[in-house]
Amino acid sequence: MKRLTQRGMPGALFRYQLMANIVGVLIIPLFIFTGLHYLVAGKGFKVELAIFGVGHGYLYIVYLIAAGFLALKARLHIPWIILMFAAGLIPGLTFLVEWIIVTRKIQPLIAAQDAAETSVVSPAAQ
Amino acid sequence: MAFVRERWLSRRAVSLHLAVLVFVPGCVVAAWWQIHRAEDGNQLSYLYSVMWPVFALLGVYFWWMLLHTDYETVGLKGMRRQQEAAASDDGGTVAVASPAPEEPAAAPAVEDPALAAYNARLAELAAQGPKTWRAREKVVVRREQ
Repeated sequence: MKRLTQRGMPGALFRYQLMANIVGVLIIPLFIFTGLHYLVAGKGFKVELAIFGVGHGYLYIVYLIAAGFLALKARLHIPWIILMFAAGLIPGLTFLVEWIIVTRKIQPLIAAQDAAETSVVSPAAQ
Repeated sequence: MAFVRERWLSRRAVSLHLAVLVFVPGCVVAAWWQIHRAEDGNQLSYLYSVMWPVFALLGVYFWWMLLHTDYETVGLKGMRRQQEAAASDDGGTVAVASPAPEEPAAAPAVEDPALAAYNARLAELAAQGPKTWRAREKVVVRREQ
């Protein structure tokens, strides 16, 4: 018997990791070109800003949804959820937060669920 | 009725209702605002006028899911709590689980096999507890066997 909150965990984790890496990669050139746009005289790099800005803007929403579903499945607490959401907006933090969430929060949960499942199944099988 | 009161009117449930009552109208207002901005020619607002209704729907979905999962048994804390409970009184869970497997073994000696299978199925269903929208897959899985 698997609860609905446990059933889609690997899928939700994969979607979150995929979107975190895409968004984390996209935010870096967006950050660089924004800096260049304001620092370098002439207000250049408008095409680059439009490409990465729109790309990151759209995919960040998908990232938010993927992170929200993972947080729902793993029952992460509100500070962690806010950290996940904010991480998509800060260059470099995306990868760090993804790594922390996966290793500290999700992998122990999956391991505990697997252990509980085998311990529940084994007495009935014997 | 106590079950309903616990699910829909506990402190946690009421705070969830309040959260969704604030969040969904907020999303609707934001969507309305962005639709008007998009009509005025703001390119980005086309995206936002789709995004806010999606967020409103997700808010309703999350509210429903959080309402219908038992807080005590979900997540890492819930897993640990269950393991501690199982470790402290492992006799309790075994006593609940054992009647269903023993039923088919005892019944065939006196009963018709079809009737025994029917009784075993009834015992199985009784052991599963009430069928809910969340627990429906258990019934389907048993039927395929």
